[in-house]
Amino acid sequence: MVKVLLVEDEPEFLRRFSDAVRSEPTLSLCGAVGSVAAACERIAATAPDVVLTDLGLPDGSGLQVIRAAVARNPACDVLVVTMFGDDGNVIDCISAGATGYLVKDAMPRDIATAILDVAAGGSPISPSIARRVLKHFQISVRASSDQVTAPAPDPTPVESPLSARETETLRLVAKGLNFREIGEVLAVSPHTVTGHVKHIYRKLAVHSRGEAVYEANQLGLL
Amino acid sequence: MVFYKAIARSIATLLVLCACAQAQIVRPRHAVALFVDADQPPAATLPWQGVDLPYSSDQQTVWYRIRFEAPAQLAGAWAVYLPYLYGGGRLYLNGELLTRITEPGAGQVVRWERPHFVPVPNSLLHPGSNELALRVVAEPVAHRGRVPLLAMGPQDALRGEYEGRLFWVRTMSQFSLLATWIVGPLMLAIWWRRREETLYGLFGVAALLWGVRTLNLVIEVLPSEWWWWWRLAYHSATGGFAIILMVFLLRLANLRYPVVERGLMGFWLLGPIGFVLSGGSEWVTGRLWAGALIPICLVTLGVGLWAAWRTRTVELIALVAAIAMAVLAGVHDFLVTSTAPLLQAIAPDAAAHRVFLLHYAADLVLLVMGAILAARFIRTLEAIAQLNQTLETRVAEREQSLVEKFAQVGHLERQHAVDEERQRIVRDLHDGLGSQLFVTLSRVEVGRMQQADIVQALRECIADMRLTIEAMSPDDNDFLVSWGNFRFRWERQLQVAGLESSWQLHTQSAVLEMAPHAGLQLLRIAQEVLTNILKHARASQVVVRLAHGDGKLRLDISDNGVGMQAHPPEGGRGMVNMQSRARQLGARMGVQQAQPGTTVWVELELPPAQLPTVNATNAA
Repeated sequence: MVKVLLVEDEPEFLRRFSDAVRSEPTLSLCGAVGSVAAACERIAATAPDVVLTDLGLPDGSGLQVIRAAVARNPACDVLVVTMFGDDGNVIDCISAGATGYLVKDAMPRDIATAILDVAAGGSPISPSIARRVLKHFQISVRASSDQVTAPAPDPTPVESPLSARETETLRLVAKGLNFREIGEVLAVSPHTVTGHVKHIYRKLAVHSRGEAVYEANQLGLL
Repeated sequence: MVFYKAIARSIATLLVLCACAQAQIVRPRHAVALFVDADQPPAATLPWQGVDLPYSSDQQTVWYRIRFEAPAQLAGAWAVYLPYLYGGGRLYLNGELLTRITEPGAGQVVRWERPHFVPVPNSLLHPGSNELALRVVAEPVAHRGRVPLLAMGPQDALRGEYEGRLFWVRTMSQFSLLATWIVGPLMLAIWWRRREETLYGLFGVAALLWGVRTLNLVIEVLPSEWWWWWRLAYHSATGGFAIILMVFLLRLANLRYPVVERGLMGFWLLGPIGFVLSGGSEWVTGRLWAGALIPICLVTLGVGLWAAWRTRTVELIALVAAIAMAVLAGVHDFLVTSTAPLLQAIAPDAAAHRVFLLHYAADLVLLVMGAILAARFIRTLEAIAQLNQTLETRVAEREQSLVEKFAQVGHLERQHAVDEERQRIVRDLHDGLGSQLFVTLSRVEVGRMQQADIVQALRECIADMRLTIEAMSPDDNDFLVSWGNFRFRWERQLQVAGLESSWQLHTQSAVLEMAPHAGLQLLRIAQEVLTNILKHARASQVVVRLAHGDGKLRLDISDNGVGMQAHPPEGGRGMVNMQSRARQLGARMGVQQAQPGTTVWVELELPPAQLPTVNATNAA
């Protein structure tokens, strides 16, 4: 059984998500709350496997929920509920430890599928998120293989933590290719591609955590 | 100390020697004169008259006999020193001819400015009493024969005196001549190019006139037929120099009175005219006219002095002082020439030596004039440099303001572009999402919509919003980014609906640059086609193909459904919408029916972006 916590301040959406979770026998709802405080309390009490959280909560940001969830259980998967799946907040969320996103108007069946996917080790990613991740690491969006005849547009990206394979995966995602097609291009299975994406998310979180520590040092907080 | 004593002793010895030499120089003050024209010294028995030296006579030729004592012991060779002998003559010592100094005669006029130094053979000089006989010929200007206060003595003692006078009377003149004839034309050349700089012109003319006058002194022997012209040139140059100097002074003082200047020039002309009319009278020109120049110069000088007092400019003060000296020198020379009794009474030696000062004073004046012009020239250069600097600063300022203006214009243009884009988005929201929501609302309000229809309508609204966001979000206007997102979303949607989709992308470019609103229209068409396929086509397979090449972008969406003829979407309204969008895009579109299925195609001109193109064909 996968323990799921829902954090959403809009009752209608909360009901909709709750219904979707309840309707799936392999999922167990360990909480459906509408505030950061309540979410933190439920996380501490139940250590959920998957957390679905909205970003704009009445008493704080969804980022706090993500951090609390990851702190309580590092293996916890957090899906951010977003309107379109491509706003800049998603990257912040991934940096904070989120491993995926869910669009608000998703069908109930899609909601359950997404939760199961992420719990099974998959990670949803859209072309715009892929682009944002690439940009975050200051990697050119255009594939390196495309640039063999072109002058290098910018110098070596600043110590990107991503492997060449992961970078290539992101580029293909950014072009709109699905995991099966990416697997064909890279000569791997779609499952492996899913693993790459999850790694990318984790690295982004680790990378960002390092930056956070550095910044905290700079500010004299640590 | 020893060293200093040695020097002191040397100096003392030298002074003693000089004193000895000076002591041996003889300057007789008396002579006897005989007014006859004879080639040889006339006999002593003739009626000689006693005269005091220096002496001048209006006779053409006069003989003088001068007695002097020579010491028993001669300190070196002796010489006779004549400070001047304007008309030439002959010199005898104890009856023996010492020298002939060229006299005016057949076809030539002589006027010696230089002093004469006549060495005396020791054999001719007797210890004790000696007699010098001197034939003096009148000089051609005043027609007077002048005997100077001559000197006899050791050559070493006299040579200094001789060379000193030679330098001042002759070498200086030669030097002045050279200088004026170099500087004059140079200044005139400057004035020729810059006519408004009259001071340069005046200076040039003054220098040349002074050069002409000096030439008169430098050339001492001349053919007779030139003499008249020679004097004319001399008087014209001398007077002209003074007049030009006055004009220069007035102009430097910023006193520009054309009448006065014309008057001065007119007076200048009077001299040569008088000389010509009087048949070359030295009295009319040299005395009357030149004499009248003096008060004129004095008055002008007074005006200059007054101006200098008022303006206190260094230039004017210096020039006034120099001219004042020149005027004084001119007065002095005038008095010397005219052998004024006053001068002879006050300074008999100066009168006797006939030292003319105007040459040097004029040189000084020319020097001051040159210095003034040089100072002005330098000031002008500095002013130009200053001006250049100011100009450069101004240019830099203008450049800066231009850069700012360009930046402003660029900003405004960007702002304008942003505003235009904003208007498009607003219009788009109004026409698209807005109207769709209003239609849905009004239909829901009157209860004419089933719940499923409402859900469908709202989902379409959200889909359209997503489309707008997809089209608007790429920051580099790359249509491929929007297309990637569009594909990602629709692939899932088709998959959920049970359709198998195949997405193909054929492009040589890594980037397809397209304005966001154009991209949006193209995506809307694609969305409309796909929605129609979902709703009506009952297809199981969709092939979406985007190809870019030869400056054209072509979108083909094919399905294997029942075809459009059988199910015209919404009574053909969807097709009309698509046609309208294609027109806005400047695109052509068409529908091809197949058995089974339909292909909708859109084609528009899209030149390749100015970006590196590469061999990247992605077919999936």
